[in-house]
Amino acid sequence: MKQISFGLLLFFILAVSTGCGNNPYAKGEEIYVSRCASCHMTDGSGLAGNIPSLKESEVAANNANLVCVILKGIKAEPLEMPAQELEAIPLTNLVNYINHQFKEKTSEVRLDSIKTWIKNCD
Amino acid sequence: MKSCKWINILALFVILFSCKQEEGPLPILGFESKGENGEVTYHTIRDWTYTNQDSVEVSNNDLKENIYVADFFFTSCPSICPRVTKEMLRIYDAYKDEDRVKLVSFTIDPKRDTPSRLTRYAGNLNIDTKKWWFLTADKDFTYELANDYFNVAMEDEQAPGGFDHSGKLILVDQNGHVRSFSEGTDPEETPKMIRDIKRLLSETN
Repeated sequence: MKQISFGLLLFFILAVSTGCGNNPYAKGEEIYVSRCASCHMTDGSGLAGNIPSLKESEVAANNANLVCVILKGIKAEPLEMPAQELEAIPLTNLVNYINHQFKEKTSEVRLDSIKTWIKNCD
Repeated sequence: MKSCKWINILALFVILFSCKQEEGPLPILGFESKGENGEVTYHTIRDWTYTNQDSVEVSNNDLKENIYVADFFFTSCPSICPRVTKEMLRIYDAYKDEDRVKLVSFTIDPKRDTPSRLTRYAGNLNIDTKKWWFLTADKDFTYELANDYFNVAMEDEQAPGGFDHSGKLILVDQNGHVRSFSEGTDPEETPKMIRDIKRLLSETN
């Protein structure tokens, strides 16, 4: 009995530590929580047809588009997405966090690419 | 092993205690006053008439046969509203087929939230607007009414989106009495609200 409880405890500790500890983009998470989560929700699911889910959004699926939307916002009715003022480095952190958290297969986005996409938005 | 047993017993008591709280009729919330003849008057939501998302005038009298959950919001709200609406949507889904349960969302920003805008907002949520109303009326009346629902709503330039407001979900019975509430910003409180609705329904059938 004791052994089983110990095993269970170990399992829980392992599950919790791997579950919480595998986000390498802490800075990006900070930005997401303060600027994005109140509308797109902590889990990225959005609000039905009013606020897109970041897991399913076609705009968010493409990194170059995602960067433009974050910087320029979207004018839409009845809800609009406000433009976010972010420098290239925090933007890189944010994009990497969103990709890591809400998309199936992604590779890390580099600062150079982000800078190019920022230029292409203007 | 022995301490384990005690923890189990403690856990059992906690479970029993919390179950006990969820039996019987829900309390009537708010201040109550006693008249000269000893008659008790409970806190009651004042009468209201609003325009709904289809530009139809509706009032609390139309809800006399229903129980309903109310919240205060505005569509362009950048702070807590999307989360609160998401919890309203969970409640909607839980009682989609129960006609006695309605949902009512009052806008605190009637200038921007015209019926046509509310129609689009509701349409995007893909809900039945006979079951869930989005209502607009004079803002000063709404700020007063919010107090009846234990919510705060006021204009505030410093607040995100220009309005200061709270995100409580309020459960109201057929008599206009408040019977339960939950924080619409906390998804963990919604299951209790869903259970409380069930309790209130069992009281009234």
